[in-house]
Amino acid sequence: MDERTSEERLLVERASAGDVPAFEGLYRAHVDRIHGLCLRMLGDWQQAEDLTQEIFVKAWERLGTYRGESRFYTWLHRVGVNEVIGALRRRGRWQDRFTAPGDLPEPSTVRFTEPADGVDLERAIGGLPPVARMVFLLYDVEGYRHHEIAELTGMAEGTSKANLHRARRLLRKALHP
Amino acid sequence: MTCRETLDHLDDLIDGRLAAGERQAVRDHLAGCLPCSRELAALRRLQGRAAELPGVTPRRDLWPAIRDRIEPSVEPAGDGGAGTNARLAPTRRWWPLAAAAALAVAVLLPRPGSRSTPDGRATMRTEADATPRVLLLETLEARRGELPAESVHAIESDLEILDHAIREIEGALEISPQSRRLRLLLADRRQQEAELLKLLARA
Repeated sequence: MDERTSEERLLVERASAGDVPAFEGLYRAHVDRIHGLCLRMLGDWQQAEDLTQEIFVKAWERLGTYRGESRFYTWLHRVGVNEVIGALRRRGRWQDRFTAPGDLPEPSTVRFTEPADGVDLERAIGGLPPVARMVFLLYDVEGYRHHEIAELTGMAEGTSKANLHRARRLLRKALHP
Repeated sequence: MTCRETLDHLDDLIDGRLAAGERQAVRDHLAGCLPCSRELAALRRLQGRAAELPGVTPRRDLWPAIRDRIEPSVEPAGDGGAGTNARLAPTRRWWPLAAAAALAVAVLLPRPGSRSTPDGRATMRTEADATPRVLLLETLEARRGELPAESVHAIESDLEILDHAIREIEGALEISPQSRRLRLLLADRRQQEAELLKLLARA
């Protein structure tokens, strides 16, 4: 076990026992990745920050369910994805946009990394239809498989594949018209 | 296999979902088709760039709000015993506050000749070093009556929590003295205290 893993396990153990500063250590270690997930999914800084906050509160409340069988981030990420999907559902951007490409966010709302290459990609991702964007982010950015996306979202695996295909095509077109 | 059929299979190819026969048919087409090969290369680049997208730091520190929401859930019930997150009684507040503030200002205003270990942990501070910090705290104490009671209470509470956090992290550092993450966390806590004190001084 490397130092980082050992250190994280210590923090998880202490946080599980109610140690708030230890949980802050976990928060500091993972907040950027969780916030990045929220921001790319939602395309809105304020909502992403609010949801990130919510995810860490939920994680604190559910720490007792973490058994240490996977990396802490894997568990935390799953908590985060569930919250993001719940937020998207609450926003009503779900079934009605399953196939509709319209109502895309303004490019300015999804500009958040420095390198020009990264900005282009971020902007292009922000311009994807919501479901295609979600599937692309879960599959190509976060490393989920189609059966996991299906389980998380309730969509059929075939729908997940179709949306990934669509997202990649649109991104290719946006980046290299 | 046509170009259209090949393009339709590229996702499955890069995701490793093609059966052996289909995979070979796609590869055979790619071997003789430059546009389709370019499309495959572009898809692979896109996949690589997506996997390397970095985390994004929030524009504001979300921790104080998170802490405020989770702390009540772990506050010890009933006797006010000294649990992990037990709040100190008001009459006991001043000394931890002073100690935390001294630590924080030491970070904010490093002095020539001040000593620290190679890992950045401060060593013993002299009385002269402590004087400005104590003066600052005394000034703040003197202005207590001018500031809204709620603000004073909130600031005291934050300082108390930060002081507690510092003690906890220092305790963890005794177990893992080489932990870079804990040292960064400690420096961050001290910086938060320093910022809080600066804010108080400007209020």
